[in-house]
Amino acid sequence: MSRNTTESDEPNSTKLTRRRALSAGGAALATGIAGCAGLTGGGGSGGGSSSDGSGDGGSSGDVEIDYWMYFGAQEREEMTALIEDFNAQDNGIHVNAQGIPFSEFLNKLFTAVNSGNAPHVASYYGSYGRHLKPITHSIDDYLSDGAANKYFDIAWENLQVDGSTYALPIDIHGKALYTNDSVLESAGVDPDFSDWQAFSEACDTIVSDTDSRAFSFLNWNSGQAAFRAYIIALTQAGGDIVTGDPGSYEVAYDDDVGMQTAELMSKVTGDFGWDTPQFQSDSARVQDFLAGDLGMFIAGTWSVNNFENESGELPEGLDFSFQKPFMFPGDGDEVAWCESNSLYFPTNSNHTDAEKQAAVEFAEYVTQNNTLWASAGGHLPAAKSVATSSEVKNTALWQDYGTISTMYEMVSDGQVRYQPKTSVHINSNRFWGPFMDMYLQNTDVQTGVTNSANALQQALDQ
Amino acid sequence: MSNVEATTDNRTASRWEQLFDRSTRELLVGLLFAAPYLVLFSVFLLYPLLKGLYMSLHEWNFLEPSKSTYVGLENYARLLEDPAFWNALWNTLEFVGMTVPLIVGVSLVLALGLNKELKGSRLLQFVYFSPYVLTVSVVGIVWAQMFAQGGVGTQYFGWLFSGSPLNSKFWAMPVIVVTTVWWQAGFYFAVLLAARQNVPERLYEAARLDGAGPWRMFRDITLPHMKNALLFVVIASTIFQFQVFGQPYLMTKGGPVGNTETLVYYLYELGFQTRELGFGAAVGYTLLLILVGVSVLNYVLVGGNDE
Repeated sequence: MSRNTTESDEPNSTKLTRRRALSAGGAALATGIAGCAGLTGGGGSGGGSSSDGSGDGGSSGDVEIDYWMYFGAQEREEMTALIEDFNAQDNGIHVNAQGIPFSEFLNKLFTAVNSGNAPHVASYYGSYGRHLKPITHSIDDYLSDGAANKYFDIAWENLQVDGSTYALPIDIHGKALYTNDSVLESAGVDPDFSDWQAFSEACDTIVSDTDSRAFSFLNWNSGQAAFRAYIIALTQAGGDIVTGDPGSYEVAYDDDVGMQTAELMSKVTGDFGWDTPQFQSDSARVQDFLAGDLGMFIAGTWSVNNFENESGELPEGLDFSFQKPFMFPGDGDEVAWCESNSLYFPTNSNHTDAEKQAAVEFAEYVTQNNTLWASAGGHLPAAKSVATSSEVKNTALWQDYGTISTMYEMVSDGQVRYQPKTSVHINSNRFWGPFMDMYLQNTDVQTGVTNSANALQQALDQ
Repeated sequence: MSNVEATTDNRTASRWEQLFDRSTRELLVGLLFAAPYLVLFSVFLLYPLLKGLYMSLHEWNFLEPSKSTYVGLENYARLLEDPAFWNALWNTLEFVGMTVPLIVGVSLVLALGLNKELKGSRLLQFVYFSPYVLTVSVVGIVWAQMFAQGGVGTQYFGWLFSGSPLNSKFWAMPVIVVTTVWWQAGFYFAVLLAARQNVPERLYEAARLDGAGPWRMFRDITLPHMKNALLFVVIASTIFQFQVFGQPYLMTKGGPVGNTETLVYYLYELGFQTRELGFGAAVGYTLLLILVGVSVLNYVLVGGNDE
């Protein structure tokens, strides 16, 4: 599977740029770590399974904790630095981290639990609590006092399943609208979109008055990407993915609102002609955006990292904005999709109570000391004190690019929403492949939505 | 050998002979020799095969197999009503229908062409065989890159399709077929070349003396003598192509519009995406039955009456 560099909250194959390296080095120095020696210098994409440098050097007598992460090169470097930091504290706990390719992560995790070889800690999305509940254990008995108050409420509540806590959130990340203001300026349109009318007129003008594509709704060849893009527009249109209670969810997007939203999505490459019905690699889309061949696109807060050149600088003359994606039509809520990279605690009868306690201590440390995750990774930390720390607020991402600050605003103002917590692997291509096909003009909207909804309902009913 | 030892051996031999008659003794010795293979076969093939059958009759609980529910043939009944299964079966048949004739044709042409002692034929044999040593991962990723938007294949054949053919519901399957033929034809070429080289040259010389032309010699000498090899190529490649997974997984993820979702890909999704292992096992067993049927049909149609 080809990896995506800006789309996902997944493995990110961006090179370690100078700014990130400086950030990483600064954070490491600030916490007394001797340099960045522990950072894995991995390039590549999402990577094969590998043990990170953090896996060596535990003192005898330490409680050994195994941690599986799916992060790719850049995020893995940041997480590895955090683990090195934790291990360097010499607090009787030693963490061995292992990278698992994202595409195989869930399968390996389920298999590991089934065979009694699960790690103590594993990364996955916060919205997957119900799906992962059968293979993870609740951590309420192991959490430190007041742990709940340290995270943004929305992130904490998202991790509750049937009244118990199953994970700790590392970050809150979401998607919003990037605009290349040079393109917009040359088309003579205002880059401030508050409604669909203004946005669609701007797109039409860009197409008619410039050589650029106006707007890319999705391009990553993955059902997950289509799902996330669709859910932003659907929520603003007043629709839902599912209704009812967990355990008896009913698919809801095959109604009129869902169809109309899918129609709109499909028209971006169809009648509207704002984008071509082709998938590019994500890096190619970023290159188009930077080169002025693409006016606007929906992408994650962290995607800005990929705008920088090898010197850690933005291309000369690039003038871009990052704004809340609240231009879609409808009477729904002005909320955008969000997700949290989180730390879960897989079930393993071989794990002792001391190990479980140590695993939660490690997770609390990583989720509450992760300024690096913001300054170098581009994510809003889920711990409030970290998100609002001067280290984070002084970054270019907060002050100049406005990505993390916008995300912070959205979280603070209740303008983000997690996807439904279903018992099924809801991000699967099985359910959202038809949406990619609609975007590619390979299928009509009615057929695509119906196929998607039927497949999801069938899975929910199992 | 001392007299005592000889007596002991005779006594042992007679006890062995007393216990078992000759045919049983031979059977036991044969089984003993075959035991290493039989153990591996039982552990890695027979057990999974029987376990798969057992699972296909249950709604399988992945995490707690003891809590699985027996559902009889319900999974098979569901399968017959599942449009995704029929779509996957159709796609698989389409893939096999395009790939097998192409593989047989290409490998036969290459084998006949390179049978001659031409300058550079050894090098060409190596070149044609070499793709086969690659893993499906390498082949899939390289060809997917070539035919991605902006890829060299997409650019080169831009006159044929607009944009990436892997995003086109018409072109995605043909590209996977071509990829597969490029990858595998080399192996079957080697098989057919070996078969062709076993045909006695004197037959051609005699035929030429009798005034037979190239087509007549091909029809009446080459083909009959290569029949068994061709039968092997057809059956082996058919069975192999029915199990296609890596190429669509790496190149198209079964899309667009499910047009390249094959049976094994569908099985994978059931097993590892939605974790419906009982239903997935039913799909697997259905595929097994299809393969047995196809093999028998191939044998009856293409050969099988050889003296």
